[in-house]
This record gives sequence, structure tokens and C-alpha cells, in this order.
Amino acid sequence: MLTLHQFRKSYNGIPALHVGALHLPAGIHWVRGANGSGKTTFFRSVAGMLPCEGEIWLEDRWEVHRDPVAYRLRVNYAEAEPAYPDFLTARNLVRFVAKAKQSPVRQGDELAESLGLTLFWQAPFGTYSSGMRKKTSLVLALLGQPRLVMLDEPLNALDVAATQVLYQRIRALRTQGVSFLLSSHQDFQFDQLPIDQHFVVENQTLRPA
Amino acid sequence: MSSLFFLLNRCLVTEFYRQSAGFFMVVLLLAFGFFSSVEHIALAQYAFRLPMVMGIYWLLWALYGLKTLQFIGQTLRQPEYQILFQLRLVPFVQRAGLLLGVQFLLLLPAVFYAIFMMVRAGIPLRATGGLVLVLVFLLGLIIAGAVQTDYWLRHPNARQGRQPLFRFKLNFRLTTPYVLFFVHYLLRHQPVALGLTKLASGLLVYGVCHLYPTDDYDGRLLAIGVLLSVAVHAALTHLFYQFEWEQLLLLRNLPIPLFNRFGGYALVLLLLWLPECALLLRYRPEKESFWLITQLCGFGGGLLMLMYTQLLLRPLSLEQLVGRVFWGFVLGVFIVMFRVDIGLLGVLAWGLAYLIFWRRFWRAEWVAG
Repeated sequence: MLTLHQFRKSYNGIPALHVGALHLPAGIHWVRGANGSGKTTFFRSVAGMLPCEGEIWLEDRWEVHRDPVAYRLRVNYAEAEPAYPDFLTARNLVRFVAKAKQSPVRQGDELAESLGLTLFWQAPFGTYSSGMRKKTSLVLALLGQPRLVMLDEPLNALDVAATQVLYQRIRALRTQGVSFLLSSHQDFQFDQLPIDQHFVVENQTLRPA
Repeated sequence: MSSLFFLLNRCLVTEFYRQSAGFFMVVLLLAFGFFSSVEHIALAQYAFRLPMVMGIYWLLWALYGLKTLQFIGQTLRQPEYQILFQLRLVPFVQRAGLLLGVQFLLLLPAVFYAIFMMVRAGIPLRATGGLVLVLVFLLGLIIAGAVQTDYWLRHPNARQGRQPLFRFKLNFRLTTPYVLFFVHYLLRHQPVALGLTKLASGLLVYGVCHLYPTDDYDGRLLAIGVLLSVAVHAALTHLFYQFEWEQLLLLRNLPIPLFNRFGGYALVLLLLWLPECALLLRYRPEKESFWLITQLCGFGGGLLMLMYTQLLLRPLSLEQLVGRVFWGFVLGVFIVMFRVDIGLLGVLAWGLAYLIFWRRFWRAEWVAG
């Protein structure tokens, strides 16, 4: 599903992450690592949000640098600590991203409804609690028809009901062939999900656990 | 009473104007950037003579009234403003006075414009019927807004769209377009930077336009004015880059073709550049053609985009960017003095900006601090 060749990410010339060669098969994978180990850097790089060296292939067809549009159409990402302009509403963000990700009609509305976001649909993002911020980022990450969805610390600040909805969504999307990379620094979080493989980010690299 | 009004004023009126700053800027740009006061008066005179034109004004005021109501409804749904529901405990007459006062303050822009119309057009034309109708319409808007707000206060669990006055959903289909994100951010979080930049830049353009007729100058003076005016925008350009990295990083995950991205950034910067273009057009020296002014506007827009793309080459602090802009300005003055065609310079600026954007966009980084 995801293949990395000579992946390198540096900040100001200081190496942050290096993966020589790694293949992640289709499925639901749990990426673990201590705080600051580089999980978010890895996710952001795979999502095409940060420049990096090397190659990142999705399903051996789309490469992040060579097919920037087709690749990004199929790879979605939810931040661990979402930051969006405080004056935008969830509705505004969802409509904007849904259009870019070519979402089916009303997909955003349905996702927002299922996660309990509609109550704050038209309120500015700056007024949201941490839970609502997380829900907004999760809705954005599930928009369109992705092949890979990366959820960084998805359960942080999420209430029990929304957690169950998220689990259901993940399971349903998995049956449609969508793969997931989930991160958490806690060991108990994804007990209710059929995790296929565990990966660890440590010593500035990513490897199977 | 005064403390309650103070509370409502802070929660609804001040907050409405603060959050709608972007909307007002766009309206001001559209309404006063392109129309002079003479044209506004002419339109008002038409309105008092032709009911259809007056109907357009009423429609615009009514839409604005709906916008204020949408804001109130949205505010009342937020947990931190639940305290406002205590107002239902206030006696009816007192509550009505408060809500009418709030609605009047929210509708002030429409009220001021209506007063302008009446004083400059309605009264000189002795259009008594029209004057009365304008007053009645505005009064009706204020009362309708107050009634709707009172309904929401008395029915805290009512869903929007099932109100006695407005049977249709107050759920506007309009959403803030991407082009306005940054302007909105500037108005909310960096009003001083925006105000000072536009003031300095506007004064420079205004100054060179007024300096022009005092001696034997040509279009090069205007071009140097544009160079200076663009250079003043360094801080805003840097803020734009920072804003996108810190608050809209998700944009880089969106499947948007590079050309469209370039277009989006260009539109944002052109929107910022619009007031200077309006000034150039308005104070155009008689000797110079509209075509030259159009070329100068395009040249300025291209320079702004070129300045933005400098940040894609490598992470630059504001000081570093200002250093580059300074040397760019010196170079620009030399080129302008050699009488190189402004249109050609504009095309070169846009072309170079696109080239840098195309080569560097995906490799660009932001280093905080």
C-alpha cells in the first residue's frame, strides 16, 4: 500500500527521520512512538505537507513528488493538534476541503452529523473545545475517497460516543479497501480495532515493531 | 439597564463588527473603491425617482439584516454565551428596548447610508414619500430583528428555520472563499500591520500621483511609486506565508494543481493590492493613459507575487526578506530609469514569480521564529 525508498526528512539540515526502504501493506497499522519521536513529522511528510527527500509511493502508482495532485487526492491526514484559522467555521472548512477532495455530495454533512459536529457547524473554530477541534480534523480527514487515511492521536480529547463512531467508520472504510495509519503514544487505545501491524518510530527511523 | 446593554453590546455588537471586519472591508472596497461620492449621490437620486432602484437598496439592507440575525443566532448557540438567555427574565418593555437598541447598532451601516441618501438626494428632491418609505423600511428591519432575537431568547431550544418571522432557513449557502481567508485573518489579528501598510502604501501612490503634475515627469515616476508601494508590503507578504504554514498547513495536503495554487495566491495578493490600483485610477495624471495605469497595476501585482516567491526559495525572517526587497527596489529603480516598458516588466515579474513557484513550491519550508 505504502512504499518508502530512501525517505529522509531534515529540519535546517539536522536529520529528523530516515527510512531506507519500507513497505507497509494494506490494512490498519498502529504507529507508536514517544512524544517527539517523529510520528507527526512522518505523517505530515507522507501527507505531502512537508518537503522530504526520497520516494513515497501509494499503491505503487502514485508518488508524492511525481504525482502531487493524484497522490494527495488519495491520502488524507488528521492532525494530532488541529490548527485552523479561528474565524473559519467547521462548515466552511468542510466545504472547502470537500470540494478539493472531490467528496460525494453531502458526505461532509453526514460525517459531521455522525460525529456530533453539526451543533457547532456555524460557530468559528476559535470557539471550539479541544474535542470539537479534534472532530473537525477527523471529518476533514475522512472526506473524499481516500486510499490511505492517517490519524495522528485520533482519540485524544474525543468523547466516548464519537470514539465509537470513529471505530465504526474505520472498520467500514477498511472493508472498502481503505488503509489506515493510526498513531498513539499510549498502548491501550486501539483495542477495538483489528490492527494488522505495529510500527515504531524511534532513533530517527520507522520500523516494524 | 445600562449594565445589561453593556453586556449585549460587548457580546453581540462589538463581536459582530469584529468578526465581520473582512466582510466590511470587501463591501467598502466594492462600494467606495469603484464609486465616487458623486456616483453614490446619483444612484441615490435614481432610487428616489425609480421604485425598482430603491427596491435594490432595500434588498441589500434586508440581506445585511439577515446577516446580523445569523450572527445573533450563531452566538446564542455557543455555550459561553448562554448567559444571554437570562435576558428573558427581564420585563418585556425593558427587554424590547434593549433588543431594539442592539438591532439599531447592528444596522448602523445601513442606517448611516440611508441618512446619506436622504440628506444628499431625498431631501433636495423633496421626495417625501420616498423618505417616509426609507424610514419605515429601516424601522421595520430593526423591529423584525428585535422580534426574532426575542423569540430565540424565549425558545432556547428552537431550531433555526422554524421561527415566526423567517420561515426559511437562515443557513446562508455562502461560505468564506479561500481568497478572503488571509484578509480576514489580517483584519482580526493584525489590524495595525494592515492599517499601517495600507496607509503608507496608499500615501506613496497618492503622493507620486500629486507630484507628477508639478514638474516634467513621465510614467517612470509612477512606476517608482509602485515599486515603493510594493516594497512597503514586505511585512504583509511575510505574514501571509507564515499564516499559511501555521494555520492552513492542510492546504498542502489538498489535491490542487500547481497553477491553481499560484492563481489562488495571486488573487489574495491582488486583493490586497486593489486599493492602490483604485488610487492610481482615481488620481491618474491627465497626461497618462488608462492603459499605462493598467500596466502599473499588473506590474505591482507581479512584484508582490515575486516578493512572495522569495520565501519559497529558502526560509527567510522578515528582516532577511526586507533586505532582499531593498536590493530588489534598487535594481527595479535602475531598470525603470532605463525606460524599459512597464507592461514588459509586469509580464517578466509574473513570469519569474511563476517559474520560482513552479520549481520551489513543494520544496519550501517554514522555520518558526
